[in-house]
Amino acid sequence: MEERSKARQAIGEARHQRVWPVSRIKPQGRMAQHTLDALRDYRHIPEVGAFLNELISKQYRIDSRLWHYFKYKYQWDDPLRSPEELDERFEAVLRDKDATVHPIGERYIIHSQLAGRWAIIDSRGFRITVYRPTEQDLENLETPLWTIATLFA
Amino acid sequence: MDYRYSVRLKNYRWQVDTALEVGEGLSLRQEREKLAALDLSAGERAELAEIDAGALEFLMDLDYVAPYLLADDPTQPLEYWWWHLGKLRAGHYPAEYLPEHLRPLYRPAARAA
Repeated sequence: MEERSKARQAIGEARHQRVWPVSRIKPQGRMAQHTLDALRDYRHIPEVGAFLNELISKQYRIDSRLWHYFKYKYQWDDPLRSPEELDERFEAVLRDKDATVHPIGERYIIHSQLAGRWAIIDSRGFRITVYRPTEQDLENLETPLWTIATLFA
Repeated sequence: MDYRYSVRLKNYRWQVDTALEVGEGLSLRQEREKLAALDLSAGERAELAEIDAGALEFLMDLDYVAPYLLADDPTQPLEYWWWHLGKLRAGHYPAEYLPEHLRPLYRPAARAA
């Protein structure tokens, strides 16, 4: 399949399905320990306590949207109100007709200046991550192949 | 909630903790390079060592790491290991160039197998 068709298919899937991969967290890993330490400081908050219990009961295999949500909110002070807001951020990027599309390996970065974020999806259209790029990130981003508008024209 | 870590390391921590965790990190190497040029406090050096170890763990363990991260820069000295992530992941990096605290995390035989 040609590159353009692959990108259309992946982004089309990402637009119409809210699928995040399963994260296999290694609780002994250093960065995971930092996140878990941060979460334990807030375990008195019901959603955090429940999430810590869920991690254990699911042997640290967890919907990556949930992992993103708790990490962003409680370790990185992101004012997220719910995991669904991560999908709203994703969709704000994918709705922007001027968002630029950058193939990177097996994935795509879609950058929306309007939304102030970029979203990364894989070739299946799974939602990998969404965040505000740094100035350095933007400097490193290669020339886009398309915008959302030109890709779907 | 206040940011709980060293502010000068924030961009590098972000690259490792949130981007490399999912196999990405478009600025990871540049952010690490910036820190190599700074005169860090003892506390910052300890935190940096911890983040470096986290980066190496991800690099060795993840199923997917973006190809751009694995495209090494041969003009960079081997001591600057963050420019040689491809060799590290493939198990072709000479371990003696790694800082001592990172060597136990590097498993070249496992990666090269």
